[in-house]
Amino acid sequence: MSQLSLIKERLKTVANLHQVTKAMEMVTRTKINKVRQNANQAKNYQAWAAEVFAQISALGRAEPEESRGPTVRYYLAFFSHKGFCGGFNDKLLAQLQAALAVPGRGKLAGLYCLGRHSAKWAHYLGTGYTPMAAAAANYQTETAPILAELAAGIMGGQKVEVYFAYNALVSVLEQRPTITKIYPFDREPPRVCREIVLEPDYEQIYPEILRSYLAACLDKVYWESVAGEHYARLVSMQNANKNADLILHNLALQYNKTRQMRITQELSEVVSAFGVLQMTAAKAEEGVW
Amino acid sequence: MILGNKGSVIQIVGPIIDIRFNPGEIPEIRNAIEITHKYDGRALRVLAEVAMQTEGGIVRCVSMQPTDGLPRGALAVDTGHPIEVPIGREVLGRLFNALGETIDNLPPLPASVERQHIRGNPPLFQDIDPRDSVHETGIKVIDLMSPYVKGGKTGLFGGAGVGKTVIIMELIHNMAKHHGGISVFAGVGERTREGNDLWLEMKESGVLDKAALVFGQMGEVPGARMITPLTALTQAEYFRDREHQDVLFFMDNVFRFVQAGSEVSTLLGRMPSAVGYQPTLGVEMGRLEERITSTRSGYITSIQAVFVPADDITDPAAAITFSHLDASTVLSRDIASMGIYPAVDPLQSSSRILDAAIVGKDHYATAREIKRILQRYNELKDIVAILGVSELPKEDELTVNRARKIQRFFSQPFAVAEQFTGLAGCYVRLEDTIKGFQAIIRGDCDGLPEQAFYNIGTIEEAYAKAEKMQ
Repeated sequence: MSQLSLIKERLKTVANLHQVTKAMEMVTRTKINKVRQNANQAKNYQAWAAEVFAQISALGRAEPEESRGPTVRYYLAFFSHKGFCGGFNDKLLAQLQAALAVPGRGKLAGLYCLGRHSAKWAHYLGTGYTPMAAAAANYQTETAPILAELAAGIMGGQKVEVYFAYNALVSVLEQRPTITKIYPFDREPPRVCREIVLEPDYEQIYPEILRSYLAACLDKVYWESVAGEHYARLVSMQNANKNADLILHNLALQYNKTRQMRITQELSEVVSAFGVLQMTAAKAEEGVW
Repeated sequence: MILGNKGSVIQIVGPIIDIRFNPGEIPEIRNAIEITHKYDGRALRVLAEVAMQTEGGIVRCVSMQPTDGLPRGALAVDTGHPIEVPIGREVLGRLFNALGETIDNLPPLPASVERQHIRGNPPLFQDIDPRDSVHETGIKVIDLMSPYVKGGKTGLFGGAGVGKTVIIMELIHNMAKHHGGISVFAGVGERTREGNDLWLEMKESGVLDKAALVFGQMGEVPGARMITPLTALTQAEYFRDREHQDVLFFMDNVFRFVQAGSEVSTLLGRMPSAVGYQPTLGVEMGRLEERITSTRSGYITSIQAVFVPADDITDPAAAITFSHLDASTVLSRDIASMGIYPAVDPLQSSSRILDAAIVGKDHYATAREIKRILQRYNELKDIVAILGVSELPKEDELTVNRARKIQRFFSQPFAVAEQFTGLAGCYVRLEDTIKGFQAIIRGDCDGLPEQAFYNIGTIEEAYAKAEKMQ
């Protein structure tokens, strides 16, 4: 009976896990539309903000390179908020580790990891790493001081580089780990410029525009990452459900076969023993034994 | 009417023969009965053993040879003693059948050769000398997880086709060569070809002149298969008790001995016990296993292959054998299906001497840690199968990776399987085995690919293989 009870125990474990994965798939399905909408809005807004920022930047006077000093780098990495999303975090983590390990690219001034799941990676990311929960409701408040610090650094004459590490949403099935430079702004200024009036003047308005641009970029990447997380989870849970169904099917088959084998065996034992008893009794009557 | 110790065959049912004797001269149980008859112009001689005494001077005997051509009324003679087989130095280098007759086409043994009956008694309790030292086999997984006891009994359990015979052949190759002493092999109910392979293997490796081989393979009648281990054991006992030698005793396969007993039991009309086995299963196994033991005069280290029907380790034949052994090596179909050979299941295999006081702290701690890692891996297997490795916490992911490396590092090329793997067999010393597994546990090898651990000997080979792969 030991084999039967072992199979039964495994059946129960897998069935419990299957319930969890099914629930996760359902929850993800209900949330995904809202998240996708937010991601689209943030993307459109960021595209517009980038264009405006490029135009305004083109109006200003660039600081001479030599006056800015050594390069300082800031990284903001966007990880998942929950588990069950396959290799979503692992691939990004690997890419981030590789990027951080490249020597001679300036001093690392800050490494901020957004998403509740990032809290456990101190071992992999080393010192200077700040995990942040950054839930949808308060990520803007939580990240505001970082953006202010970045803007102050840029305006203070430092040679600042800002990188966002996140999973770019390529399609439902693919989220590509990406590290993109947000500042300095590499894009060519648009040829056709809108007429822009700066009030009161460029020097006063530029820091605020810079902060807003960084916030728009953060919004876009944040929601793209959240949408990617949901898609990754959906695919992962669908696969998990398929796997669990297969395992349950095989285990049920194995359980039934074992059970039937035991019943057949017991029956044959009873029947053969009864047969021997009858034969012995008959022979005893005949006086053969 | 037949007089004296002569009788007459009255019934033949396959290998079971009923013989009527004079009521005052009924042969004792286990006595050998010689039945002779002229058949087709030649003398037919069948040796049988008394198994039951019934009323009216009738004894029921188990034939040790085919009964084809034997008629009712044939003459049967009670030899007055159990079956006797040759013992002594003369048996070395020779091949025997269950009755102790040579089957290697070499000149017959001299008539002066000493003979001993096969139904000996186990040594007395006070003469038994249990030992607690490791018998190194050169096979990593065995030496680390279920170390064999010098002078102890070891079982190799496994279903059909998982590699019991290959392991036993490798053990013969490694142990008999390094052991240098006398070896006795009992081939019970297995393929006749394997007997031929073993004979050639022993001849090539130069250990044949120190070995005696006894075969009662699958083509033999159940009676012969039942007594084959006893014949071999009688020869091994001679070297232990009379020459005070240390003997290696190999048996392949104990289950066939039980199966032969079951066939005979059914034909004798005994009521079957659990799973259709004979009701005397425990007694038969006990009588055999109790004789395979080490005494003050010498020791017998025995390795026994045990077939596990339907891969069910709780089968009565396998379960009853377990209780007699000092170490058990269990082979698993799951591991064999991963292509890992020897397919030893390290979690089910065990040894009485896997104790820090006997094998040393390093060995014990390494084996315990390996078990812990593999047990955790087993617990996580379902989660990995459903969700994938990436869903595991980082420490569990590490455990899974190390467990997979450990599993692969348990594989090892065998000298006797060179023609299948194309790799030269290797003998790994116990200290190298422990050192290798400690390196994996410590995480020294975390950077190496899994495949680098597959089919190698020492851990240094893993580093070399990984470099080659890159």
